Amino acid sequence: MSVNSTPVSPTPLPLSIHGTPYSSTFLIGSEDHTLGNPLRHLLVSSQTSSVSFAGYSVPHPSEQVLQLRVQMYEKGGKTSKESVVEACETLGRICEVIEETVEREHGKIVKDEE
Amino acid sequence: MSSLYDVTEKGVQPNPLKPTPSTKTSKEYINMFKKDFQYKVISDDPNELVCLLSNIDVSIANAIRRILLADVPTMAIETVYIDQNTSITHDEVLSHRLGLMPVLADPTEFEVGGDEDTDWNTLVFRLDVTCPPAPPPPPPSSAPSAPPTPSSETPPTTATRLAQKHLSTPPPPPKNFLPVYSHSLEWIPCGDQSTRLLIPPKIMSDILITKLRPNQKITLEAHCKKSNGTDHAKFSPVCTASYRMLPVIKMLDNVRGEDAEELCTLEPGVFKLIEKDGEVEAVIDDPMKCTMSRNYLMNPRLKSKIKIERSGRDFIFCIESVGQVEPKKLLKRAVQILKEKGERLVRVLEEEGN
Repeated sequence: MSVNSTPVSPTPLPLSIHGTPYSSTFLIGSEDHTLGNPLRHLLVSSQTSSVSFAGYSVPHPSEQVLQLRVQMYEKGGKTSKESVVEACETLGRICEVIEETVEREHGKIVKDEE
Repeated sequence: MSSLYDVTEKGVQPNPLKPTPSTKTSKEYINMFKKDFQYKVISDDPNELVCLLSNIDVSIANAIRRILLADVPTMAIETVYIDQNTSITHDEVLSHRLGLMPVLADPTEFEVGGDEDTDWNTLVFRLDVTCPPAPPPPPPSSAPSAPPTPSSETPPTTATRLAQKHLSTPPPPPKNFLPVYSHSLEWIPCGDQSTRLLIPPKIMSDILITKLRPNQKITLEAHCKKSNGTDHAKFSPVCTASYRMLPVIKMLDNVRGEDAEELCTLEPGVFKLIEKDGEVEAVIDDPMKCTMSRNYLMNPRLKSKIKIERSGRDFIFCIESVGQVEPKKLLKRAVQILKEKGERLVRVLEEEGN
């Protein structure tokens, strides 16, 4: 920690879930737009059959908290939590595809690093 | 969200007819992404990578950019223990300057944090420089043409000194100082670092730290830590990482004659002239050179014949590395970190359920 930097208070919870299982708000600590926006995009665009609404916000820039709201079409099907987990897995797959494509393009140079 | 943007006189506006593609299930989305995603290198230098990421959503492209700036870790000098500093540069200024210098070491070989300094979280550099004593003054010259020296009782005023400067020939540059450069910092291997680190770490060379006058001395020990750009900008591995949307140029009609020549001056590099039926005609040469100046809209004839748009799903990335890590490795690491962020969230979500 540098002399002039303001210590960021540790978030009280890494995660807390509010609302009902089919329309929940997730409070995610230590994350910001970097994760929030891709997740919102994937919830909205890759699961259109089950997710009716997804949105995110970072209420204050000096508080490292991300709020993610997910609402489902019908009760009894996939829960909000399951759809967020699915979105994270989709994000992981996308990252793998990008990584593979980048590696193929640059050849062994990138691969040698690990 | 739109996948195409119209560039008009009023600004860049999303095209409502081209929404971003969406799928019913995640599986379909992954298959669509696998099929459509393209990566193309435009230029690849040791310190700068320009590449095109096609058919990727802006949120993911922006996440990669944000991670490059703030989440990819590097090593940088964090603590400086000063034994001796008689130079004109104050301790804190000197420490700050040292902190900003790029440390050329592989960050993957180190861990973040830790209460104690170990060979797994700290790199040590030492700086020990002394300016040699001044050479003895030259013997008094016997030349009678030497300008009269002012009497020792009254010190020379600025005016007399300036006058002397103008009258006499310019003096040779003073030799009695010592510039201290970043390569004077010497790496001190600790623990098994000398065998573990395949490439010996060093500070990027040829950066002037300070200048010493005769007999001035700096002795210090600098400890490097691993952290990321969120902590301090000195840890950021990129000078800048940015992207811009790919220009899409459509020729609605042939542009010939004077209009073609005007178009080439209004949008330099984007179009080229060819001979056709004894007349010059403008054809698209390199859409990436388009600066989105919208200059061609000033000519009503050109406005009706050409359409310049921006694609909201193709991004020209420019990753400029500071020097610690090659830009293509940075891109790979950024993507890995994005994946880890998702995995971390899955972990805490599953813990919450138990």
